[in-house]
Amino acid sequence: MPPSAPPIVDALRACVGERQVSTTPPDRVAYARDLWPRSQLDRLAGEAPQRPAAVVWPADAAQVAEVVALCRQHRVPIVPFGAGSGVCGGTLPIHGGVVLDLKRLKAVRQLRPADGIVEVEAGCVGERLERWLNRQGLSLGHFPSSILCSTVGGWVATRSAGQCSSRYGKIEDMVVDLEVVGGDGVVRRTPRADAGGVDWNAIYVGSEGTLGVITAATLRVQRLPTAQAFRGWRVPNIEAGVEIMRRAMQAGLRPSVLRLYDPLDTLMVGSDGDRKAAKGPLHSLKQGLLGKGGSGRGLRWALGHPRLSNGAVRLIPPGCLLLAVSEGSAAEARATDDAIAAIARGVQAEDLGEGPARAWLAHRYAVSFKQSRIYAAGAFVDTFEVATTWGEVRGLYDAVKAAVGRHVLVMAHFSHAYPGGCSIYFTFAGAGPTPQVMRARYDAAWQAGLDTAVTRGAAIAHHHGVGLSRGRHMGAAHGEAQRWFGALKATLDPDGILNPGKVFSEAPP
Amino acid sequence: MSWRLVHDPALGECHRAPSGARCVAPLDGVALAETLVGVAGRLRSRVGQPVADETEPGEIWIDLTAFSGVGPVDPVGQIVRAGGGATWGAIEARLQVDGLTLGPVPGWLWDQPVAHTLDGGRRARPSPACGELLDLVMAIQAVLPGGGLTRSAVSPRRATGPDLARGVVGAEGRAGVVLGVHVQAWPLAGQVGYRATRFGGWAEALAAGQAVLRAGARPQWWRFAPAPTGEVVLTARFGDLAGLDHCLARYDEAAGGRPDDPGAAEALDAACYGPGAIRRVAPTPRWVGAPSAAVGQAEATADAEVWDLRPEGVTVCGAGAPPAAQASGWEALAAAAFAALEPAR
Ligand SMILES: Cc1cc2nc3c(=O)[nH]c(=O)nc-3n(C[C@H](O)[C@H](O)[C@H](O)COP(=O)(O)OP(=O)(O)OC[C@H]3O[C@@H](n4cnc5c(N)ncnc54)[C@H](O)[C@@H]3O)c2cc1C
Repeated sequence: MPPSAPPIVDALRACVGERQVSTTPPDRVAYARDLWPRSQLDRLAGEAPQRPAAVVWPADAAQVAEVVALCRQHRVPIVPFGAGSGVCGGTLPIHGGVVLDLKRLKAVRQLRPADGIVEVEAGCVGERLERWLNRQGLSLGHFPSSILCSTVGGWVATRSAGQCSSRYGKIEDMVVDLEVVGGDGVVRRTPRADAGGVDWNAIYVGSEGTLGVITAATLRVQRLPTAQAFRGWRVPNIEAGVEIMRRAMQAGLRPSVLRLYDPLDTLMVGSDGDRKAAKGPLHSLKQGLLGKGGSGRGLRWALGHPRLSNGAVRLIPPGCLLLAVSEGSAAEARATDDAIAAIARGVQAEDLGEGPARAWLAHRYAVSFKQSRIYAAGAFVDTFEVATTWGEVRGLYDAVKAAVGRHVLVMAHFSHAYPGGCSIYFTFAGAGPTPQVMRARYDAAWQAGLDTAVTRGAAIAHHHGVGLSRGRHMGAAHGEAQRWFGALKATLDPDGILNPGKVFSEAPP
Repeated sequence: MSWRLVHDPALGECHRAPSGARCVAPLDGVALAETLVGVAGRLRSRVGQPVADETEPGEIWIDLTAFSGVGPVDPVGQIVRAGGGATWGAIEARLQVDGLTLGPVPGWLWDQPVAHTLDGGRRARPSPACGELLDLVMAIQAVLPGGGLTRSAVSPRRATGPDLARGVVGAEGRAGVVLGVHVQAWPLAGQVGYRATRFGGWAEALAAGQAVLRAGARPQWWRFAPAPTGEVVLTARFGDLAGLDHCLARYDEAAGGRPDDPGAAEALDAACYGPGAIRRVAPTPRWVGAPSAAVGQAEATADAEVWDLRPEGVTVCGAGAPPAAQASGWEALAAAAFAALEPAR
């Protein structure tokens, strides 16, 4: 593939309008990255990312189809772009070409409350959709921390999860059908998931722009809950907390949130939940690293010596914070809260009242990946999430911590609980004297974490997707299913122009 | 129609029908993979010999009898491993030994091998409380045409690209043969409760069903069916997983309607679910669509039944022809993808 696409720029302008195509350096720089932390390390190491030749803002599905057809004709790669909040490098135009920003496709096309569905265009920002639904007394039930800066199309493309997935499911559980533009430039609507035959929704959801450009989605909606119940628990240790989560979910309860912090994570968020509170460990780490005077230096030193700092973490008392939010009708919220309380008391958990869970809810979107100052200070922070069955949770947690802990300081929380298991969300931080050393440590941490997840048969991602950060592990995780992906790719994107190099990907650049 | 035992250079020893259909019974995964490397044609996962009038020329029946094992059970995760040839009944029986269950298993599914159900891909056992049967399948291991073995994490959810395992589901064997699955189970309910409620008509009954779901009262199974009086009767079974009394109280409050004899629900339970159940759940053909259109479908059909009602979709059994699911070229795309999956010969 050629790295740039100037010959078609005029044709693109004719298609979507003069002002809706940009080849200016600022736009090309801005669209050369998403929020993958490794890009920051590359930048510090003096490596400029591959830029797209052009950025295009189509207005509707027909224009998307025209752009795709044009790019196909000229064999120019296309990278679909939602809001660029992805944290895995999914939107990086590693082969140049055209970045297709879908944010002008933002309309809510139709709402059918009686059928429990809404049809919305892919570029609609999540929070806007949720606010609009709330005005109709409805909710999507999908609340990723990035709801303010991510789009419906991005959610679908990455198999995103909201914080209340225990009750409402992940985005794949909400998709009824999709409108997609294939690599052949044809607009199609997928059959409903319940129609029988091949489940095309399951194939497009999570395809990260490699099989089609999603232009609209029909999603299930819920009535707004009329009641919520909040509870925080101090549990004696991780086992006790996981046991509460497991028993609650396997008893058929449907809390919206069950979130257990490991001892270090508990220390970071504050076990009473309402101090440095609920903004989460990333926030606390950042504050620590950027702290004036000695505290920042001390923390950086500790991060540069992960074996020592992870060893010291073992001295932290084993108690953990567990948050529970139940909702629905007043009766259901109360019944769920009571049932969880009964389970929690059975494992000697201490009731902390409503405070911690309320504090978490109040700050739940107060996360930021604007970390350049941390990186400039010689440190790095990132997260990765895996998922497994209840029987494997503790073993996976210990194994990943041991493997990753050789390179970085690591902590975790357990969330997104389902009857069959849950997700473990690891936060890690490291430091190094030079950008090159930092990057080597960062890569080693990822490699160790994902190797361990693959070896133990766990899912290597629960909701952030693959992008470039997990691409090299996909073959090991899926075996020959990779050929099935290849067959789908050859069929749906015959010239390989859609987000090439992603999902079953090439090595990170 | 008789079957001949033949020696096929590609398949080894196999049975061949006059129609041309062949049947192989590989003994293990390696033999299955080797078999698939050598053959071209549509695969059909079955347990036992081909049924003559169900075969199509060129088809290959994969007899999964050697893959009928069930277990081990992971009691903490409440997950069981089963071979593609294992029947849902065998899985349920094994789970019950450990105090677990799939939830109600309709009699007609009891003897059906898992691989066969997955090949078909239709909603097989809707259950608001226990989930659609196919959704309990957490991981699928399959042998692709050409012999490659897929891997799949055993995990409740994932974000690792498209759900490739689900690509096998509904492919009618064209995307591979299901070697084994991991299935999530539920604790066996100690107590069950039944309800029967009468409504003036379909609109009222289906609206009540949605209200019950919104109230968080989720039956293990339910059925909406017309009574000779012209009313519609909702019968349902509840389990005690999330508190039987709470569940029944929420149902009673949300459903409205006129309470009827719950014995009718109990009788239907015995007739439809478990081993040897004689009544086939849900007549065909089936119409699947949006709730707002379901009332009209049901009203227009004598003896319509609804067993599957969700906030965004309803299956009306006995009504009309199913909508052309794979219209607008999807069938052709699927065929092209399956062809691309075939090894080059
Ligand atoms: C602070 C923060 C918190 C986060 N919290 C969560 C969370 O709680 N849960 C969660 O799931 N994720 C979370 N994420 C990750 C991220 O927000 C999600 O991956 C989100 O779904 C990406 O949406 P986007 O619109 O920004 O997509 P982008 O980043 O623009 O794109 C992501 C991928 O999807 C593809 N894509 C985008 N739109 C389309 C389309 N219309 N058609 C085809 N392909 C498309 C892109 O090519 C790319 O491969 C978080 C990220 C940040 C920065």
